[in-house]
Amino acid sequence: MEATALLYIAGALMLGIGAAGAAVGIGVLGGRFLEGAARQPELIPMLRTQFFIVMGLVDALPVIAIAIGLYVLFAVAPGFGG
Amino acid sequence: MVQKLTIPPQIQSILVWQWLITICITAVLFIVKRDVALSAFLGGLVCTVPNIYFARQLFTKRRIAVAHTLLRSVYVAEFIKLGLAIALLAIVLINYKEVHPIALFVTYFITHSCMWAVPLISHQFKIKSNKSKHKISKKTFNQTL
Repeated sequence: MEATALLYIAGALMLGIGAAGAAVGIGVLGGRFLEGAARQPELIPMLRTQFFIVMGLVDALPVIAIAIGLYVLFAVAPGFGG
Repeated sequence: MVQKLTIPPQIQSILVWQWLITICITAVLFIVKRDVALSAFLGGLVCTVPNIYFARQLFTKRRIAVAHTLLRSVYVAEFIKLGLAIALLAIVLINYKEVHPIALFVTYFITHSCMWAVPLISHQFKIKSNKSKHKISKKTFNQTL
């Protein structure tokens, strides 16, 4: 297989698996947030702050994977994106 | 129930730390190696701008304080945040051909890791313990027995 094709497959895998991991993590987080808010609605402001922080934690690695995937697609692989 | 919301100080400190880290890395690289500094600054910018947008959407808009409505707006804001990060990265990688990828991604990673690091080191995030309260109630409970 040509090396450029492997680069495209690598970039696509990084984007896809990163997105899948982020989707699972944010889904679980949202479910827990709703559960906590339903149990104690008066804690919603505190839960929202914690939600933002944990969202940042969940986001970090998928976004970095997306960044490296985009780098592989746009900068390493020739002939893609001008 | 409609209420006016402001960004909490914990989140403000995370955003301020992200800017500070970006500026510090850029300043150090500007002194050591000038052509890499712009890549580092762009890496920090790509991380910081979507986070500021997300925090503003989440905390400063007037919205109904019902959990499911809030969660829906959070998901919309998160979707736009991810799109913004990807668009900014794509713009940098397509238009800036002399980009230094290691500087870009290392600064991006360090700036993003403020989300983990600032809550660990900042005293603002410590939750007050209720140990003494529990002790009293346990003592009272034992006395009643």
